[in-house]
Amino acid sequence: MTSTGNSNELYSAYRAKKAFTKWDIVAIALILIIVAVCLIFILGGDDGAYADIYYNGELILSVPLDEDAEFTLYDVAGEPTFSVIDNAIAIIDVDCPNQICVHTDYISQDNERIVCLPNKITVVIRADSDDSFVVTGGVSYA
Amino acid sequence: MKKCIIITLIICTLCVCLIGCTESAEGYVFGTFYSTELSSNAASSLTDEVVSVWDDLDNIFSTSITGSIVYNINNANSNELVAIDTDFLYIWDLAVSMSELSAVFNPWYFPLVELWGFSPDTYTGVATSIPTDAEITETLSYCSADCFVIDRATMTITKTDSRAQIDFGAFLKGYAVDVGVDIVQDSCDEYLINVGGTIATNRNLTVMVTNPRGSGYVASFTLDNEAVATSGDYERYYIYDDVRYSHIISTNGYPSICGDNMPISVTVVGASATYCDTLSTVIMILGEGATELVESLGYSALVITEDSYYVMGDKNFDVNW
Repeated sequence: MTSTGNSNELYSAYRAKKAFTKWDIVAIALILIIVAVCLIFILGGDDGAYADIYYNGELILSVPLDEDAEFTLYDVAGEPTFSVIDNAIAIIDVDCPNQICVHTDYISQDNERIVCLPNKITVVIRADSDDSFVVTGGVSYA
Repeated sequence: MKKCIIITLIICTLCVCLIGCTESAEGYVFGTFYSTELSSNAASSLTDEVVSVWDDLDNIFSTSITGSIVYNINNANSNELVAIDTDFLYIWDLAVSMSELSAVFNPWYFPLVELWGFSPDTYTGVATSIPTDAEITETLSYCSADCFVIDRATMTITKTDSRAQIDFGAFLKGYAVDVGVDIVQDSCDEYLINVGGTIATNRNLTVMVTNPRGSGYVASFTLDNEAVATSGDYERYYIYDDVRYSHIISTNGYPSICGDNMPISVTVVGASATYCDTLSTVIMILGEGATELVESLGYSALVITEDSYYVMGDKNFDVNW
């Protein structure tokens, strides 16, 4: 009987206890806020479009497209010169026999790419967009 | 506080899944670029597996990698034994079956591609002369599967003419895409595989067709769990004596020349990237003459000509040409 009585008291005490204390709720809210901030930062903190520049399949540079610029990558084969104007990017000069990448002209929409096969340079636009597409045709051989 | 720790762990696990499920990769294979986007918990290892298989294929079928089986065959003397493997045999048989679809599809035309200066290793985009009729006729005499003898028991191949050469490039990109799909399709929620503009996806995706005579795009359509490939006369070509010569060689030994209603860009959509790749080449040569073949196989095509365009099959293309 004593044992049962103790169990009942414990059960009543357990039932009487609140599932979450005030400080539990504050701690959970803080954690959720921190996680949300991290997710926004990691997944979409940068609302502007940018261009990923790959060399030999390795990502070497991410260029924001909201600031006009012109720059040359001297450490990359062909020493390509890039131009960023009006949220679009182009390779405007490169030492390459066929100049297909230069003729591709400016690109600005999500997933568009410029490829310089002889020098193994790829530029891909990354942007949050409902108008995303892929391109068929073009850039088949060096 | 235990509750807080547990909830934190659950949230963090969900975050890791959310962030780690999609992987994009860019690189180069078969003389062109590739791009993969895989959504899977195993995206990283699947990407590695696909790229590894593509590298293996390139090391067997490249015409320019020293020591590849195709390189060894193309540089062998007549009656010299060259070792082959099961992958080579599979692609050889596939090439034979593709050439049986249409006689104009001929992986044994590589000597003609070289003669016209269009092989990936020799193409410069400029021509100071073109081959003579006599040279073309002579070269045609050894552009045939009959110049090769395969011994499946000893896994060797020999040539009856040392000048005979092969190149499976006309459908190898498509085959590589199909192989990639086979590897990832059961393990990925979503995938997009792109080898030089030959694409397969299980998503519903807008595809733009490159403008064959300038920058921008000439058409768009929706790819829905299908593959697409495009051939054209606008990259590997040169202009000689005011005539545009492109790299796709017809059965008469001459490049498919632009004429009235002849294709300058062909986009084929359907189930298999290998077939899309093959059919796009066939249509570049045959034009409207390929309609029955394309439609009987259940494929669709958008054919752009200098002044107009036409469609084969049921696919809806939004064209601005």
